[in-house]
Amino acid sequence: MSFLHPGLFLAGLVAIGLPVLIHLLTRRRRKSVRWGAMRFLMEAYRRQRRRLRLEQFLLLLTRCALVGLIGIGLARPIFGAASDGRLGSRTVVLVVDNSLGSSTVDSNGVSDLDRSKARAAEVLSGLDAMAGDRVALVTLGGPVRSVVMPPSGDIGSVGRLVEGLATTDSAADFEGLGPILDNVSPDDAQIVVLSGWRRGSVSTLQSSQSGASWRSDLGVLVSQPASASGSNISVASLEPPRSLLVSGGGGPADFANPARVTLVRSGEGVSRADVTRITAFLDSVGGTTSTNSIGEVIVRWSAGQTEAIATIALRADAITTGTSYGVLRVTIDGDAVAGDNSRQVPIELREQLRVAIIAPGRFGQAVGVQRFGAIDWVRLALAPSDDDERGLRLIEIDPGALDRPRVAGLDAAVVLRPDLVRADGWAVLRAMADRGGLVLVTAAAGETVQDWTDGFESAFETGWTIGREAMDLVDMPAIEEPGSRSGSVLGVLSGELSFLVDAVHVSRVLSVSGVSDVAVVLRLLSGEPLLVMSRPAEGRGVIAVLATAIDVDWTDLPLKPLMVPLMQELVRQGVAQGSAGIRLTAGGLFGQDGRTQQLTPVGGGRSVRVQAEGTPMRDAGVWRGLDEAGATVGLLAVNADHAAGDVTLGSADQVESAFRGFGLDNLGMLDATGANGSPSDGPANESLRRDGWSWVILLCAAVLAVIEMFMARVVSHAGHMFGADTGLGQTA
Amino acid sequence: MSEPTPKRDGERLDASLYLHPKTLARLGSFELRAKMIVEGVMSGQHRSPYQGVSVEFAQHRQYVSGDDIRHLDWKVYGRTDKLHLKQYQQETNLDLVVMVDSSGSMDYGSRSFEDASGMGQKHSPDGRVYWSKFDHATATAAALSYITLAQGDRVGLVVFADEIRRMVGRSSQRGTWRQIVEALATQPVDRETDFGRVVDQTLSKVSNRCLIALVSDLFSDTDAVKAAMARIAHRGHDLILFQVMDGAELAFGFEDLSRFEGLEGEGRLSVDPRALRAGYLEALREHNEQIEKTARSFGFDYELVNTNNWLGPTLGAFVAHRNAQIKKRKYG
Repeated sequence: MSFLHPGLFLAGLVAIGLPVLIHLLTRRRRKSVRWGAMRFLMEAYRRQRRRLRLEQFLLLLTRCALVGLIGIGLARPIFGAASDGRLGSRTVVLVVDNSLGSSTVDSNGVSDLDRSKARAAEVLSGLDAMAGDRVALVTLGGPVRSVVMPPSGDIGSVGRLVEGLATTDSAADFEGLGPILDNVSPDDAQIVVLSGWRRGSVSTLQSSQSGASWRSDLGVLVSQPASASGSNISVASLEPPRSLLVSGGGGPADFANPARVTLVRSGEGVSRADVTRITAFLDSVGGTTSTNSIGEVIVRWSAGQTEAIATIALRADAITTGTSYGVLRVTIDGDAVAGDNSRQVPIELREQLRVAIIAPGRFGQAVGVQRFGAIDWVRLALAPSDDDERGLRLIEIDPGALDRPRVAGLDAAVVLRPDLVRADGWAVLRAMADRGGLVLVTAAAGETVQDWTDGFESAFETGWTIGREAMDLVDMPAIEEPGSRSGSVLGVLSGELSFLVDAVHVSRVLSVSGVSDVAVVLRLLSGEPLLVMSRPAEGRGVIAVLATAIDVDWTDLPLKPLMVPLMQELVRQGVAQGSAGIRLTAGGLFGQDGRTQQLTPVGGGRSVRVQAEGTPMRDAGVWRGLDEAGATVGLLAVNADHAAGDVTLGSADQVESAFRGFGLDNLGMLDATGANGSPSDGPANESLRRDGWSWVILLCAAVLAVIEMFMARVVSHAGHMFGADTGLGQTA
Repeated sequence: MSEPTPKRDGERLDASLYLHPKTLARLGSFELRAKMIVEGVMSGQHRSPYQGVSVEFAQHRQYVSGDDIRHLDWKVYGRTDKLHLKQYQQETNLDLVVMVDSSGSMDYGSRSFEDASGMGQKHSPDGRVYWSKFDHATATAAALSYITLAQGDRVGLVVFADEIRRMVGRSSQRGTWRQIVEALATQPVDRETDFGRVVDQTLSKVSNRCLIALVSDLFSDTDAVKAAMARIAHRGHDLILFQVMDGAELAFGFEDLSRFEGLEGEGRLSVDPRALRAGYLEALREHNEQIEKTARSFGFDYELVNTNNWLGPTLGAFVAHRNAQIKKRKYG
């Protein structure tokens, strides 16, 4: 048992001695009466001494108990396991789940967060700042946020903060919660975790258990899972045809490919057949949200189906000349969770890409395929016909003439003769990659010893080790590297990529080691990396190395159908990755890129400074990255974490076992709330209720007071005085 | 109006303090009745022709040397030639011995002196602001003495506690009353009561039969009182018991927690008086009933005197009872 007002309890304990003290004081201050008929008084006293003493003792006991009960009642006792050992002021850490799943609304329009707020208000109403109670507030919407920490005695302000809490579009961050709770002081603080415990939160809770352990002495009370079911469909992904759209002279050819949308649904609606309409919009940055859709598709769900992938054709006339940035947005019909009903990706619009082919100059063009050199093959791949450069403007730069003025304004550089690039040339290329350009380096055709690798490695600091001598192979076929960046770089080719790649054979290749698997886009069947891509350290661009030369003596790639789409996609997607907007899932950190100093929400809102340690992005939206001069650097699209939008009801057992996984010894479940949100009876809630036992005890005290009055009358025999003459004592 | 109380400085005694006009007025009718009873023996109204001698013949006895020859029965001498004296029953002469208890318990009083005195005095000459039982006893004794002296009878006084502390010899002189009042007014009130011893001392000093008026709270052991009454009865004396008690002692109406302190060294007792009231009253009732019963068994009169009441009715009741007793004794 403990007390909400231990001071009153201690005062009550002290006050128990009051009747005894009063008794002693009144004995000392009793009126002295010189009495003649003393012998009769003594005789009466001798006759009744035992009874009188018993009566007086019982009366004194009753009065002591009465005072004690009043003290205990006012001190508001707490019974049960949750109150073990706590006698001082209470410290409560409110952990409120405001992740995407907490925005799930029931048929009455009440969200899980609303219920958590109501529950938090009940908890706060059970605290008393005057008694020294303190409260801290932590929100779980990732990254976890310490709204009030360390605990504060200003309970009213915390209550207002709770009231103003809004949902995030991120998942609950239980991983981040552990370190916060580790530092909670005092040790006996009561942790109250309030959540609707839908699968979106439970799964993150379960996944965060691995290797995580909270302080075992923490007293944790967890709310019961929500009982109101819901149905939710999330836009899990949106893959535009390209994130960099080049209109070029031939129009928006990039929109010829459809966008791909993945939908995931959860909750009670899974069991039903349903229809979902997906609508696509292209919003211009800086303008208002477009109301004209550029594409639409209907998804028909069958009963039990939880995931659907839809392709949505986009109207090509959506692109307007002169627009630099835009946002491709898809939305679906409203459901229980609104935050994941749309998804958006930043789109960069360019009239033309400037691509430099870094190779020695020559006179005239080669005639006949048998005379084609690397530069011819690349030019042919990037500009299949002179009439239609498809938005790519090709520039040839001699490797020895690489300097900043020539490179300035380039979007991509294809280095075919790296052996001719000087050290300062590599520095210029590195600078280009840092600002977002693509640098594609191939092996130098005709060279047995590739002595350029040192300059490359020192310039780009990729950590790769490229062999100086080419390895001869016997028509080694190339293969697509599963799980590589090809999913994004060569996404447009995903349907046919494996067939295209299989047709390519390589005879000579440079060994590339020290490459992570995700950097390998294409690999040879023998295991040698064929095409690797990466970002330079602290740069925004893309570095790609083709471990073979664009030469028929090295590979038949130039002769294969893969050549054109591979070069096209490498350039376009490489440039897009380096310069177009950034996509981020809510809950992630926007890292410092060296240029972006400030993020301003598109459409208005409060700007945030980019923090060195990363800026937490909890809400979905599109942000414009600004540099120090206020110029737009790029776009940041933050989308809801669709996994957090799984509204399937969790069970109390799941929640409890998940928390047990953190090694908690003192774990309790908060009682279920009734329809009106009031807590029902139960031991787990007693530590958070003020008045549960207080009124009972005070009622007992009232009954005892009546008994005391009756006893006092009986013991003092006051009833005998009715009608009797009150004596006049001869006082000494 | 209240009854007066005497001054105790011993110098400026005022009989009116003890005989408040109201008291005297109430007693007037009884004096007339007394006059008829004593048949002229009383002084002040008229002198009895048979002073010192009873009118009713009792017996003869032989003359011895020294006897008063006025009481020789000459008729017997003439017939028998022997000298015999005539002896008469003295029934009209009343020797009253007033015994006043001055023990410590008699110093208790709950009534204010101002109220009791009825003369505007707020405190007694010795500074007390309460009307004690001893005050009431002295008033009673003075009244009885006055009546008796007014009837021409002899009155004596014994003031006692654990022994006789003051005594005034029996006399019918008018100055006797002044001596009695002086003795009562200057008497300290303390010590314990030794009733048996006092009675023995008193009886040793009284040879002839007399009426003893005992004015006391009788807070003594009933056995001791009974033994004393037995000795009084054995010696042929008559006894009137005036048990003087304060109104507070009879009601015991205290409400506040109090520390009671015995006036005769019984010790102290801190109690809630309401809790002990019933037991106290029961013990008191038993004691008083025992006293009265014992007194009645010896043919003595018993009168409970409440200090909160006027003295007149008390004396009236006494005289009425006393007349009845005399009549009974005289006419059988």
